[in-house]
Amino acid sequence: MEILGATSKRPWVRAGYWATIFLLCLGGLLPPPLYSAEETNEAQQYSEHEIKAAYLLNFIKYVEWPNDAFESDDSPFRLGLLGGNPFGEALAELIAATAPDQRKITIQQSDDIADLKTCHLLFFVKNETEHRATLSQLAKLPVLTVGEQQAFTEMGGIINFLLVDSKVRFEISTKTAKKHDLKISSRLLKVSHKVYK
Amino acid sequence: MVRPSFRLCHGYVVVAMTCLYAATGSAVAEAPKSSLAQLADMSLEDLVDVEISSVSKRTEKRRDAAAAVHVITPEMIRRSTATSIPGLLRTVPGIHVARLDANKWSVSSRGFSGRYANSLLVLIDGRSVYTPFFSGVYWETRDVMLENVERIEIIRGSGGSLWGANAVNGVINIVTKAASDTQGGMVTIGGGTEEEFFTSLRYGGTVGEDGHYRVYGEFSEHDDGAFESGDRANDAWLSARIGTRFDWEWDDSHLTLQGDLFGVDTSQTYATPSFQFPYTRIHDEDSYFSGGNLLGRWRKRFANDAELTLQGYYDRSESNIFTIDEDRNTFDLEVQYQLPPRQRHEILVGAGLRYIDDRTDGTDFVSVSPESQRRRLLNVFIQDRITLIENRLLLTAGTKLEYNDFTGIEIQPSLRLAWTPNDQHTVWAAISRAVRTPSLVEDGGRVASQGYPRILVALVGEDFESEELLSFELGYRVQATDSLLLDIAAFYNRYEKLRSIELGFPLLESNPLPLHFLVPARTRNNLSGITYGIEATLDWRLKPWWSMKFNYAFLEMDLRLDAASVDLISAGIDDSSPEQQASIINHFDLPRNTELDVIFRYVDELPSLGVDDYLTLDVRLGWRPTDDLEVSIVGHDLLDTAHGEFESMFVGTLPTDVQRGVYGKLTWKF
Repeated sequence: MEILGATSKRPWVRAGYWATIFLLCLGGLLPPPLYSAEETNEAQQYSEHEIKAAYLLNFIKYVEWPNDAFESDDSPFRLGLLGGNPFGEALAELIAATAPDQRKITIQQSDDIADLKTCHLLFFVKNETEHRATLSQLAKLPVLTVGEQQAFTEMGGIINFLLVDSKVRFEISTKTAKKHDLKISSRLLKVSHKVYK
Repeated sequence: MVRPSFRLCHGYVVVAMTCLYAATGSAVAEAPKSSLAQLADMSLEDLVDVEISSVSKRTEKRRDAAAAVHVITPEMIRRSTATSIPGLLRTVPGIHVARLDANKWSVSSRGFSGRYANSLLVLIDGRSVYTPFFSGVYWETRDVMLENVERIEIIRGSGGSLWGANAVNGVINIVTKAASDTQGGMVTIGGGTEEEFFTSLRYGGTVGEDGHYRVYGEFSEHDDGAFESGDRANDAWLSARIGTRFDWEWDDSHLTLQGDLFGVDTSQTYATPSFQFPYTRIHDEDSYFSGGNLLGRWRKRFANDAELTLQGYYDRSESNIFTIDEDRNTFDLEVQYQLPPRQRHEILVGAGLRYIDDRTDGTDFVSVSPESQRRRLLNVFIQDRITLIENRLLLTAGTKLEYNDFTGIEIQPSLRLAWTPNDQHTVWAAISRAVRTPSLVEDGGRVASQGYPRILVALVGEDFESEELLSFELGYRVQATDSLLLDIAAFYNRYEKLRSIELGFPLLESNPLPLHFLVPARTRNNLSGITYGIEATLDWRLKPWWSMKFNYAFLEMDLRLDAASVDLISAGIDDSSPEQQASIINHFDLPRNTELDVIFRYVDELPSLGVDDYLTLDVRLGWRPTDDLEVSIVGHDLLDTAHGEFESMFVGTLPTDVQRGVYGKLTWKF
């Protein structure tokens, strides 16, 4: 026996046959309840530094600074960028979009570490230089140092971003954090890709 | 002619649809949100799973790759004028795509063009799709739904050490999106003068807490082309495909299950040898292709950063072509293990086993003996990425050992060095050896190629050995500014033992009748020579609303037959690939959510095939009133009413011209 539609010599018969098969498929794919389901978007696409910016705000949430790191209860949280701003507008937009019940966050950007020593979180933009000397200048200050290059934690940084399988992960040195008098929550450690104790 | 498999294929469809119906019924959808606000709301645990968009992934990857890599992204696909994979490959430097007729393509990298182009490895989600019959690809049957594509990586040059046999002159790696990236619904519908009608539908949802799925189907109908004389050809075709993919992610594991089914129905005009005047018979025939595949992949990352990937697939394909019927079942099992990274070494090891069960039903024109064959293909590989100088000098050394039933063990080593003096510049060099193992038709095949009064020339495949390539490559990449990227690759290839077709002493043959002389043309390895060339891409964002890509490729082939050779057929191979190709792709973002894309493309003449050079222009005008709705109009091949791109080789179908055309398309996401 032969299915006539599929092998017919007339193109329109074949077309009709295939169209029917296809419509049957569509009918199968789309049961009526789905139409009333809530709409969905395709998964959003974010750039590497948009994701990193979102992480930074989470670090602020899950790291505890000593009380004397802030002048007063309503003094702002200072986020420093050393050596450029790879985040563009994303960091400022994300700060604007987060819950207002926390401290106000201000962004400071400079190429000179001297300008940024009072920051609470200092992000080291990836560049050619070794940050060892710079990091040693911050020793014992309550500054959360975050980097994005190889061996950043070995050089004396606290958190370092990694790219794993096209996802952004991070590693933490709790040993260095202790030296800076910072407490890192267990939730952050749990998510961390690697922890150096 | 009864075609049971076709019926069977539709039986699968019904079963699959029933399952899909059950699966979609339980779908739960999530509410949409604006882009960055959504990121701000994510928990720490969610952030860990957010994938970096492919654009940045590409720059990460491409920067230190010691190979000529080109990546096609979903955005490039959306703004292209192509409706198929071969169409997309037309604007990749160094790749030559020529349409033989409305449903057949020659796709080749760095020379050796032909419908039976055989030195390119094509993978769809890790599944090899070239047919071992002639080691080439039936492109008309191996299309994928373009909206599902995550990226297409085109690696020109020999990928032998990691990818295995057949990756002599290039690898095309088509990767589809994970199910989590295709959530919700999408419908496309369109049609025009040449692309008469096409539609697709996709829906994705969740399975339990960690899982996602999608189901999709597509159908397309393509118009006849035209003969050079201007007469309407008979090469219309239809294609239907349905498929599904499931992805589960938990802890450090990722499990993928996917499969699809297709049916393709093509028309063509054959020119076959005949014993009656005028000794060539011109006749229209239909071909039917059907098949399906099922693939599972499990990837696990261990605490020490080691990674294990296990993959297995089953692929079934059946083709009913006038000259020969093929029926093939392929089982493939692969394992890959990335060792825990050490200070300077990243070592990847792997092994694979493929089992192919072939049945062919030949005719007087094409046949393979024996008709039923079972073959194994085994391989192991090891690759080490060695950091010689931190962030500066990276050496990748690797080799693959392959065992096949035709030629035994083949060794394919490669050595690649990438020097990155700073973040802007990369200079790379590579030396590699690759082999192409014989295809079915080259070892045991018979192809009647030309008819004369009572004389038949037949290509007989026997005693054919692997073709060998030693390849030298050099490349330079510079990210001059944030908006300007230049990528240049040059190569010098030395081929040995390439296929030659040696004419033998005429034999008297009575089958098929009438009594006639058979001139055997035997496959041998008496052709050798060099090819060299250069390929360049300039990626330039001139203005925030205007980006331009300029591609150029130059190729020179110089092949020679051994002195003892009696080959009268292979002489034209040198001149059947274009010496120069260029394309300019412009993307304009216009006000009111409109987009204009203008693509110029030039392909040089093919002297040995009598094909003239041509210049084409494609234009796309798109309008996106919302993120979920897109309307576009495409005009393609606008500069002439029709142009020829190729000529058939061996026994074949008559070539037809590519005609000017226009189509519209609507995409709606819900």
